[in-house]
Amino acid sequence: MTGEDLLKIAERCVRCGKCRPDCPVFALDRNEEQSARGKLHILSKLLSGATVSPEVLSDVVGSCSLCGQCSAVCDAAVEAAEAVRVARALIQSGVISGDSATRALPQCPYISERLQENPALRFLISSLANRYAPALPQRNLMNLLEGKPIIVQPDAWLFPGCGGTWLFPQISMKALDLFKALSLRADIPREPACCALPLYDLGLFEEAKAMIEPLFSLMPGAVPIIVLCASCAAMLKVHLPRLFNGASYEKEARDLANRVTELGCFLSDQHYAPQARPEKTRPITVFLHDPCSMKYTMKMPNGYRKILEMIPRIQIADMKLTCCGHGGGLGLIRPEISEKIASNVADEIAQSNAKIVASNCFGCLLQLAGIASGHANPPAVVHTASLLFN
Amino acid sequence: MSIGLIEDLRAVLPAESIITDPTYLACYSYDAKVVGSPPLAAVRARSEEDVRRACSVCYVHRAPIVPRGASTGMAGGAVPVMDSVMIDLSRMHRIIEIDRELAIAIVEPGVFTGDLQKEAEKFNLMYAPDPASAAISTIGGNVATNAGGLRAVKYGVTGDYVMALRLVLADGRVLSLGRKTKKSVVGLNLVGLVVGSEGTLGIITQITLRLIPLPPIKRTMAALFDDLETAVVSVTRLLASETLPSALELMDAGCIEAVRGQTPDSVLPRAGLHMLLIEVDGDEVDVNRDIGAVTRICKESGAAQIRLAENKNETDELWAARRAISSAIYKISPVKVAEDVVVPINKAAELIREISHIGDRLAFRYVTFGHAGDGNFHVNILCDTNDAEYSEKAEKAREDLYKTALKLGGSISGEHGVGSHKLPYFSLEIEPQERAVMKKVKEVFDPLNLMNPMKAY
Repeated sequence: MTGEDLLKIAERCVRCGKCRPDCPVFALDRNEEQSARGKLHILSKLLSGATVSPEVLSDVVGSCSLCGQCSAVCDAAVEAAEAVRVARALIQSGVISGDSATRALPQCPYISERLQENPALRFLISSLANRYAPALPQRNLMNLLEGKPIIVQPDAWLFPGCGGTWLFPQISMKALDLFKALSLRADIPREPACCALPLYDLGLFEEAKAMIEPLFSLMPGAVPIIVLCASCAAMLKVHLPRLFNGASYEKEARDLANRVTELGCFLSDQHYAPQARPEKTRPITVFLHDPCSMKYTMKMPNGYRKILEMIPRIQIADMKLTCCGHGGGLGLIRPEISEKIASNVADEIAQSNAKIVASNCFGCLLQLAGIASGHANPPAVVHTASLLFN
Repeated sequence: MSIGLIEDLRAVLPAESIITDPTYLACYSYDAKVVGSPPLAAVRARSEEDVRRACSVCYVHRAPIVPRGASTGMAGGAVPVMDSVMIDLSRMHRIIEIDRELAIAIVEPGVFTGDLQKEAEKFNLMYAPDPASAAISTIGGNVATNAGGLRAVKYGVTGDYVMALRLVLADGRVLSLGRKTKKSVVGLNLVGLVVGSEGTLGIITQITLRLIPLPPIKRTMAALFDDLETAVVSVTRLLASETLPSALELMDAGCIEAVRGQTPDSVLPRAGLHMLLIEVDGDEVDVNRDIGAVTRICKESGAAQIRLAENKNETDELWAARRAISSAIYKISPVKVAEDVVVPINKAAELIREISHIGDRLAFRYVTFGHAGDGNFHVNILCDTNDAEYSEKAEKAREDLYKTALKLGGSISGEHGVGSHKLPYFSLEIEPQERAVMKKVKEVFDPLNLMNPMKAY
């Protein structure tokens, strides 16, 4: 990807302004340069040789959660989030250089090194950014799988991602039980693996590729790869072919992407019906979050919705605000903006009086848990799949 | 303009509200049609007091002032044409009050029109004007351009709903114009003068709008035609009948191709057909009667097919397609010149015929859509490249189009306004004497010609 490619995306913008009202960042202060239209205009100027101050460049490339709501409403099909991601990559790779560029994404080299060192940090670092860092459980997923023989030639692989490996391994184990109940011979690879979305979103494309390469041999066979986290699924299904386009492993990337399905979608496609249980307790309202990666990147409906609707005691309340402010490394690059978006979501949660908030993205889950922890009577924040386990 | 302007602005306004970085300012150099020069500085006002202070400083420094809402305009009205101070009203977005009893809304100029529509509905009321851009344009800009829209055929335009407003003059004085009453005949109607003045008289900081009861039922029909002129003839017949649809919009076959792909094929007609989108509203009896009348008249006029949208989803998809046209056209043509001529409704078919002649004569591609029920057509001249030959041809086409509309007793702009884009053609429509009166009026409000200079008239 070159500056010219980026210019081509930016120049497709017709400046109609349709991207503005739905943008969670623009909504905060209604600053034009933080709208997709403004960002694309500035990027065109920058790539045509204009000098840009560090503050402005940081606003253009930094203040974006890459949620993609702007593209969802764009009649000219401009992918502004993609343009921002590519601009970040051009900065990281030195194509856009100079003082402004160095300071626009100040923490990235540090983050990159730390992420490569220890995969568990991938989640901890991003959760630290929203000041909610859950303690790692004593036993991670690999520990829990110790001694359990791996299924040779399974019907499907479960890709737990970092969230399902290091933070919430029980959810991965329960998902395996669910597959067993469905008579599906599914297994989890015995090596921890990361989809590399945090690196990709920060524009560290080469580092992301290096992190993904082991995945191509990790889950062999022409069988589905069922992904626990919507954002990992979006990375592997939508972004992967783009990242490897024209590079080594291009075919492998495409093949892997074609096998990927998000867990909720998979269960819904399989017409999964939760077991009927005696309804002893009162109905409970679940505030159901549709992650941006699901709604705008993969453009898929939330598969869990249909399933949860079959459980009589669950009443679904839909969250109006989709973006929780966690995505796109926003919490790392511009924590103050991420926090403001989170605070709007917090208000919505508080007004809902929901006892449970459910999301099928681990990143959102951490952000939402951080938000909820500030409430007087905090709701439980859970992975949506866990509502099927209990 | 004297030295010290920025310092003086900083002395009376919060530092964060004053923008001087050239790259940020570049974001104030465009609207949806025109890319021009950035302002010298921008003030992001949060209140009328901010606007008043900014104007007072600009007045002392003789600095031109350009007000800006969402900058979704199509005529360059909010794009500076000289060194100016931009006053960005985006942050003034409070719906101050909706009074159910009086059926009025009091709002700040930066409220998205769609947000006001939604809020009014919570009170079972309707803010009737409905520009296609309602979700993205702001009330202040709608008032400044007297925006029309999809429901104008039955409910009129923005100006019909403005009861009162507050206006900051270039020297910082504030006028409170109009009344919250249904009637007031005391003095000249200065509210009416400000509506549509494109920011040339002052900056609107508060607007009182009339709301009407929300019609209980709305139904949408799509009438499909093999021939565009036949579609327009049936519009004239419909309007001559006892039925008055709440929206009567045209999408020609080219527009339908532009939105195909983003609108489900199930709701769109096959390639080559033109579509009239017709909405009727009222109670059940009204709506059923109107559906019958529309079906009969369209059929008699030669419609190939008439479909009644069966559910909310289909209805929403059809209207979303209509609202998407303006920017979706870029998918079929990288360059376009968007016009909005209007003619008396009984001349609409003749206009359509003449447009086709101009197209043939100058050999350009074009699409036509818009408010057929108002005789207001968005003719978009298309081209693959923005080269000199195209620009020359497009200019010629524009001029021919304007002259045709005027010959038929119409106007060169039904709703976009003049801004800077149509200013060179202003005198085609307005006689020198009338223009002189307009200039005199401006002089009374703005003797130093600081408010949005070189725009509108």
